Amino acid sequence: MTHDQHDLAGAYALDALSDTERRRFERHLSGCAACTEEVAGLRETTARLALAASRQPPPGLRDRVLAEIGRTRQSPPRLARRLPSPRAGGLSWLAAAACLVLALAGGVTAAHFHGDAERAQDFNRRIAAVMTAPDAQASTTRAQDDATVTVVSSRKLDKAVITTSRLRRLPSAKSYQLWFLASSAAPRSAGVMRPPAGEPSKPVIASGVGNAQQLGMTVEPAGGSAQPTGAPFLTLKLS
Amino acid sequence: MTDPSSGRAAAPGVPDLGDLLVLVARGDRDAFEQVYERLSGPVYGLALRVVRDPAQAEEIAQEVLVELWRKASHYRPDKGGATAWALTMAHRRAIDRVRSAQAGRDREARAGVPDPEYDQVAEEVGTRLEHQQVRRCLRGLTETQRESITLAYYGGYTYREVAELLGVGLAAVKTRMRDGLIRLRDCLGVQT
Repeated sequence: MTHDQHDLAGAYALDALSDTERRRFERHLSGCAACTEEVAGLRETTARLALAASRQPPPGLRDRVLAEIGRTRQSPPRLARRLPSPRAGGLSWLAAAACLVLALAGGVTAAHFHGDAERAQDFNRRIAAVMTAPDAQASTTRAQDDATVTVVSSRKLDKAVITTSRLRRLPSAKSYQLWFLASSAAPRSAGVMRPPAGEPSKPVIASGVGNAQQLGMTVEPAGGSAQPTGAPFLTLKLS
Repeated sequence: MTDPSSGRAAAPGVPDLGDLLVLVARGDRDAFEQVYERLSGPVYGLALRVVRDPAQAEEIAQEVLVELWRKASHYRPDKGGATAWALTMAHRRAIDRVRSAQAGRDREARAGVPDPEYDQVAEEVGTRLEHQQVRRCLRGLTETQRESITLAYYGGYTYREVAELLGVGLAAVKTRMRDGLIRLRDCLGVQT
């Protein structure tokens, strides 16, 4: 951060910047831990200026607010779009994998559901439900040199979220297909995906984990097959 | 848990505001009523201080408190205290109102006195103490620092407008705001 930008920390904490300046300053903040910390302290300070201005609100306000929240739908959590920076104590690999998937989901749904915020939010909510299930387990593997596939599964919810990145582009006549694999039963399809070149795939939410021990991925004719036509080129263990 | 905005540990038995917001995010109305008890005074008082009109202040307070219900899930504890988060929302709402009404209003009259008479006795001892402590610490600033901060925060002026009002350069105003807030922070014993 330049000295000039840093000087704006006070004006920023006082909300004394124009909208454009505020956005610019926030972009600077995102890359400067020391500035973020200073701003947090200054924000706590301006909060004290607010607390000192406290007044008893008019008597009717409480009832009106409580009535209005009864009619007001709550907004779902914002999903992280970046991997969080490592912190003291460290994030568990499960949390890291979950963040990765959420980051992808956040970025990708924005593209896939452009102009359809409700559907995107619903999709994100369903992903978040799997991520935050008490028994959620994550597993990541590499494939095709630098591609990765991550699965987070919850047996309790009987669901899994699968995301991939940098998978090779397939000819238009082919699709990737995911399979739940159990030793005691035939493979069950967990979804078909055609990741766009160079972009992370839209996560697949698959139901019916059942007693599957592994998740496998094959290349199938476009649209998918009823049963895999070949051996999976990768498998992931489902805990 | 401590609420950094107060710089003190929460009194035993008093739930942390951040914890309450987590419950509110799940649709817990009882938790929201506790949030209301804690924040309605500061939210209304701050709006009143900025817009100087009880009817508008009440409208803003209602909007902000409903927004807290709606957006409780957006609160990120790693980005700062819950009180600061909520009151930033309130402050931005109030200044949006005065900035959009700028043309029709005499804003100089509005912001004229940095610290108007606290004519109504604060209802709660806590509020009164908070007010006294903040006033004492504001007095510890240089006059130019105090003016810059109160014009911006309570008056809703941008730092460019403050520079113009005070007839000083932009760089000077930025510095006064930052140095003044740092001094205020240290005087109030704010912990982050």
